[in-house]
Amino acid sequence: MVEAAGPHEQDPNPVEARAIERAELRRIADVFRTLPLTFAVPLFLTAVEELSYAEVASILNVPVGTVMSRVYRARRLLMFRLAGGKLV
Amino acid sequence: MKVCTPHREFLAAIADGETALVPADTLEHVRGCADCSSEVRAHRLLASRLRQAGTTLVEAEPSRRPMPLARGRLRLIAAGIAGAIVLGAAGVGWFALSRPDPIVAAVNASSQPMQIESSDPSQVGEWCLQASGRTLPAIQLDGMQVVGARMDRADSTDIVTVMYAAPSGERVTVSWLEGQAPVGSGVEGRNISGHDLLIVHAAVGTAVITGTSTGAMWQTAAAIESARI
Repeated sequence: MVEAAGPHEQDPNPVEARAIERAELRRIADVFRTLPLTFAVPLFLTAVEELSYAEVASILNVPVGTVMSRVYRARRLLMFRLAGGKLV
Repeated sequence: MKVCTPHREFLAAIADGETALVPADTLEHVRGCADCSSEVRAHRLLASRLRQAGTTLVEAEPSRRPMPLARGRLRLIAAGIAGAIVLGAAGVGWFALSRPDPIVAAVNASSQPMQIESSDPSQVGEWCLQASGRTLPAIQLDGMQVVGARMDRADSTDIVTVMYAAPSGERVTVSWLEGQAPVGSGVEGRNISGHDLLIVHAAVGTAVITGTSTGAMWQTAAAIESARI
């Protein structure tokens, strides 16, 4: 006789899910640390510190277009490295 | 050039809600382009994951916990970054002595399998751009056929290696060293662990050349020296 799956069997184990989540986030952070500083700093300030591009431009003393370009390149680089070197 | 190409550098800004910085024609293009819309979503997702990664790691490692950011801290951040740049510059001398030698790392990389194999210089160039985040000084070299490329890191130095076939069929690899400002100019011959190599200090950057034929290596060095930014 097959028992019907209870709610706890249908949902992922929250502890396991949390561990997987942490591992994934840690991997993102590890790959982030491999980025050249030129790209990593604007990405950190915009994505983690949630500053606007204008604020980052002011801090780094570069044009806002440069911030935009570096954030774009940083994320592309991060996606590329997270994908294991495959074009994304 | 693909129709999306001129719009791509704005996709991160759109994902971040910085649409005031984005030209109207780019916004219009992205609205009707499935590829660009998909990439905007990917940027948005990655930004969100990065934010979470920051929070999660801070929770896990209290010693790394940053202070919550207030707008008044902007000047402090600016001062910190400026200080880091100054300290970084001052530390270059010490760092150069203690870090792994990028020349040795380049020689090691040259004997590893390529991560992309293609005879199309533009495809290899695009791969290198994505792998290293920078445009290589020269992909297409006179008289040489591109075969493939790989990316390595030695400590904090990115090394992008491009493999070529010379007209004679001999293989030559060119490893571009990131952040290595040209030291003078010219070609320097060395032997490391039994491998003959050439180090080219050209206007376009510093490259380490290895190969199975000394003639092909010198031909490659000449092609790099004649390349222009």
